[in-house]
Amino acid sequence: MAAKSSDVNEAAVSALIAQDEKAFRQLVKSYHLQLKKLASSIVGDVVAEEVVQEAWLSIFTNLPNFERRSSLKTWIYRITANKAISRLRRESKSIAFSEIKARGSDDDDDFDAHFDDTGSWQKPPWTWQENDPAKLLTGKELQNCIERVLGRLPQLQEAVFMLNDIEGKTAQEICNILELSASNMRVLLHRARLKLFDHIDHFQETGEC
Amino acid sequence: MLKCKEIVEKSSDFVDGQLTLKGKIDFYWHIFMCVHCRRFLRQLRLMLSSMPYLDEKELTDNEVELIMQRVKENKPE
Ligand SMILES: [Zn+2]
Repeated sequence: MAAKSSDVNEAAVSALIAQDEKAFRQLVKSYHLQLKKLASSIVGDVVAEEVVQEAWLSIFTNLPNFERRSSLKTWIYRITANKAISRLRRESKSIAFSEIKARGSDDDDDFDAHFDDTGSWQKPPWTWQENDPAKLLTGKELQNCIERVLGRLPQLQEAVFMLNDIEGKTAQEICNILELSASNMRVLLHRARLKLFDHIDHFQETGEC
Repeated sequence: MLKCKEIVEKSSDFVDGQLTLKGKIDFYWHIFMCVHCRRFLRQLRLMLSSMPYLDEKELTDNEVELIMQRVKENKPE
């Protein structure tokens, strides 16, 4: 768990700037799957791998120019997000990125079904069996369920949730990586959380996703 | 008093410390009174603190090798 929020250490950053192959290999090993998740949340699974490959080439080439103005990890996320965004633009020429971003915020509010007309619970949350965060998601089935739910979230809701709640990035970093306003980011994050909560709640109640 | 639906709407801002003092007091007052919202909030926090435990895999050495080859092939000289 600690490895996820920690950044690349100083010595490794210096080696990377010098395009040291061993250090780069380790970077690829540690971050490829996380970058792929980010890319896939923006452009979809099918081309995500290709986008990240492209990003690695760009990262390697540009490492000597890395100026340490942000952390290295934020920098490589930013490059990957940019690659994914421009790929998305190319594939949907008629759609502006701002429009794609908006799509994430005007989708249905499933969670409203929990409340009656007065705004009180008509279907309150189930009492979950597990109280230990380390154990809540240990079941393979629930993990698969969460991955499926995340994969079905609107573009950018997934990316925001992943960067904020799984990777522990700051709001400022996320807005920077995804070109979002702070308020837009808060809305996307909240919607993603509610959807996930709903599915975990349903799983706790029924044992099904 | 805030409605349960409003508590849920504000819950992310509450757990992330984004509410104003007045907002916090209204929020606390409701969850003090309401068992359902209390449970919602407890489980929301549980969900959020469990997220970093989602399985994190690394690439195998072979997969890394394939990416390294591509990077080297395409590297501008
Ligand atoms: Zn309530």
